[in-house]
Amino acid sequence: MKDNILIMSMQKVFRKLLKSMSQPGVISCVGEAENIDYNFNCLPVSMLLMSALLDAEVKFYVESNENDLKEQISRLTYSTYEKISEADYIFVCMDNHEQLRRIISEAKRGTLSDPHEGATIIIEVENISSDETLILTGPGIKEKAYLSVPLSSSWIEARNDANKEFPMGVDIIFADRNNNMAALPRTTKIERRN
Amino acid sequence: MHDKYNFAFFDEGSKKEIRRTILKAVAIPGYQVPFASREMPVARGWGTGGLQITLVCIGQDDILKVIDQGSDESVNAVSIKKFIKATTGIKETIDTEEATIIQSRHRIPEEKLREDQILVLQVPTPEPLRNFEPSEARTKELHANQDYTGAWLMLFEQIMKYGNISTGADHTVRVNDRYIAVPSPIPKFDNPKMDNSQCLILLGAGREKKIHAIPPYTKVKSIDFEDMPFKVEDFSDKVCHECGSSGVFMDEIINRDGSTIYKCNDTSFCLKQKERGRLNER
Repeated sequence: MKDNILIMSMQKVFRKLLKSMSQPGVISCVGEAENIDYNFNCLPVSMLLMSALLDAEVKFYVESNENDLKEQISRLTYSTYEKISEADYIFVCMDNHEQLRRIISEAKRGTLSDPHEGATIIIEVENISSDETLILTGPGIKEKAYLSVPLSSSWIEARNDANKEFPMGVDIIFADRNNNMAALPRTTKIERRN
Repeated sequence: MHDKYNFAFFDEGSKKEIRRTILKAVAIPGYQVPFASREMPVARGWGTGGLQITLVCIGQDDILKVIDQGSDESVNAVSIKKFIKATTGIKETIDTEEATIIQSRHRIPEEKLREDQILVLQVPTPEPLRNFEPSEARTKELHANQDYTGAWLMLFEQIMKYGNISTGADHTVRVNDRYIAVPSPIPKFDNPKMDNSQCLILLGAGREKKIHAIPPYTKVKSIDFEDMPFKVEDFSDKVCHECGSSGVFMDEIINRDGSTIYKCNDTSFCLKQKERGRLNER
């Protein structure tokens, strides 16, 4: 048995992502991020998600101020860089949130026959919490779940628009500095609390 | 443990593709996501879909239970369990409450499953409209347009022919008021356990190369007609001759003298009840 730490970490990252994706609002702490040999210009959690999700069979887009990040991602995963409207996985790095609205509206939504081709958008934020800013309902949620991310709310409108014709839509994953992640599959309804 | 294989048999690239498929399946409840089903050392149609899901999910901390028609000890369950154990070295159990991943063929255990568990079901035919429409291109279109007349038509034909809904197992469900899906060939008795289930349910069809999912707390309704409502098998007047339980799914056993006895179909549940009974007697 090749007792490879990377193999075990990838499995743990996937299970945590599966937990967060199947129960929107559940914040999973990715402790594995502390152990990685980290030299990318993105958050450790994003790098783990890249390693867990990307390979030569899928295309990615990354919105970052660092020009060499896309080459780094390609070298790490063998995935190819594509424009937003063609990418299966989209990474929006910290400090690029002003582009969020445009990215969400340009991202692939799949088709009525093949809704699974809708993009997954990974958004880096300062911190994710269960503060009662956003009220979540939908599959995977018992009654209500709560989530808070430090973003101006225009992304919610863009997301609502992208997901208006279910089953087509985009799925969102948040990643933060404290190695947490949370997910919003397209089925989750968001209500804002003032 | 075989050390000539990678952990959990698959190469990491295969795991990645199946994991991506599972995540999309969870995001679109009831929709069958196509995936590149791998060749397994088990013949297709013998649980390879479920097996592939289990292998990409499982980690060193997991405790695995595998059942086949309610039994932990039938051939399909034992060979799958042996294979997973040989390539992962993880702990196995027959206790439903102890397990973190439960792979099952044709049953949902009697004990209520929790949020921290995953139920993996083996699916022979993932397309509920297949008997009505043989073309995959056409059924995909029917799902896209939410044109589900065929599913109800098949029920209607049963009623015309037999006077009632005659599905024994695999009774079509509607997930989250959108997709119709197969619950895998579980008895109708188990269908209500899927509705608002606390645990995540992943369904894999290896031969047909499809994965679909039912997230926790998701509405799952067995399809029926207003004047012919869905009914589960009724065992309320039957008692298990081994453990004395009632209200669970029973096997009917006909003795040589023609008499009939009933026994819990879920063997580990039955053993537990028997054990409890013994403790109470003391």
